[in-house]
Parts: sequence; C-alpha cells; structure tokens
Amino acid sequence: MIGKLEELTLLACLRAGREALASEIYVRVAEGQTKAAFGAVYTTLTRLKDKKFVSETSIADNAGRSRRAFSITGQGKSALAEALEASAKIGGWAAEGLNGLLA
Amino acid sequence: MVFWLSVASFGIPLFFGLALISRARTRKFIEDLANLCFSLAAYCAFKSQRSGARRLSRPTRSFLLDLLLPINIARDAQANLEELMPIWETEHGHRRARLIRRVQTLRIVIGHYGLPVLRLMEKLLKIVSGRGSVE
Repeated sequence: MIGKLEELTLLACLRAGREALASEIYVRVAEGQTKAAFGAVYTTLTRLKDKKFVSETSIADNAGRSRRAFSITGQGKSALAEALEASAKIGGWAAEGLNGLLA
Repeated sequence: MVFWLSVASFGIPLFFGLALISRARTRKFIEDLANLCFSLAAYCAFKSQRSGARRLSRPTRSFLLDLLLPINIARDAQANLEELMPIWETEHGHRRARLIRRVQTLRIVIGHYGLPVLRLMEKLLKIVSGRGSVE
C-alpha cells in the first residue's frame, strides 16, 4: 500500500512521460495539490526509486548538466492501480479510464 | 590642543546651525531643502532598483547542497530549484520565492538524511507486526 503523496507522485510521473525531470513531475503534482512542497516530492521520488516503483536514469539537460530523470516501472503501475482502485471502491465510484491510463 | 578641538567640535556645528536657522526664514532655503529631499529620494529609489536588478540576475547559491549532498543529487536539486524559481516568483514574488527556495533546499537535505531512518522504522514495524522478515 502506498501513501497519498506517493500516489500523486506516481500519477504525475505517469502523466509526465518517460524520463521526466523532478521539476516536471512537481509541476504536475502542484496542479492538483497546491500545498505540495518540492522537497517532499523530491524525497518521495527517491523513496519510490528505492521501492522500485520508478526507475532513475541520468540525462544531460540543455545546459549540459547531469540530471536525474524518472520513469514509472511496471511495479509502480501495479501499485498505482491498486491504490486508485482502493479509492474508487471506498468512494463507491467506478475507476473509469484507469485501464487506459495504465495501459 | 584640547581647547581648539572642543571649539571646532562645538563651534563648527553651531556656526552652520545658526546659518541654517537664519536662512530658514528665506524662501530660497525652503526651495533648496525641497530640492535636496527630492534628489535624495530619487537617489535612494535608483539605488534600490539597481540592487534589486543585481539580486535578480545573481545566480542561485548552492553551497548548502554541495556541502551536504552527494554531487549528482546536489547538481540535480540545484537545477530543479532554478527551473522552479520563475514559477514561484510569478506566484509569490521575488522575496518569498527566495524564502521558498531556501526552505525547499533544507527539506531536500533533511529528506536525504531522513530516508534511511524511515526505511529502518518501516523494517522494524514490519518485524514487530510480523508481516515481514529481516532482509
């Protein structure tokens, strides 16, 4: 079972696409959760990497700096699906569009 | 020597003070005073604007990150904070954005050193609740 911030971060990582930078993921999290702090999201990404829910690669940005880029893994998608389904079940609504999102 | 010093220290301000008081009655003095105040205000405004522009163009400092984090994480965190600064500046203004950046820098550092403690706690909780074993 994953925490709420982990769930939001995984969702944002999924929406940001492959090899997303932490700042891109944070911007997506902040769109939905304005009180989210960048430091918390950054630490959560490291935590998700430890749990193997996201994978980390090193890419070079426009300025030539080495950056940490994150991509969601299959394990991460399963954990996210489980969390979203649990919310849908408890909330009593159908998690429509979930399969399309996680495909 | 002491006498002349005391004369100078009291006499000169007294002379200028009396001169000012005598001039204060004239219209020219009030105009000069107004001009002086206006010039001083303009100068202060110019200085603060220039220092503000210099502050904006100053690159962000990364001493704390470089000191306390591994180099790859420090560089990445610094680059991310630099990317997010314009967003925070638009939303909250320059001064508050700088404060947010400092707080987030601290959070990243604390998070980096807090994660191993959190992992240990999770492992201990798993053992205590009987849901897992020591890896």
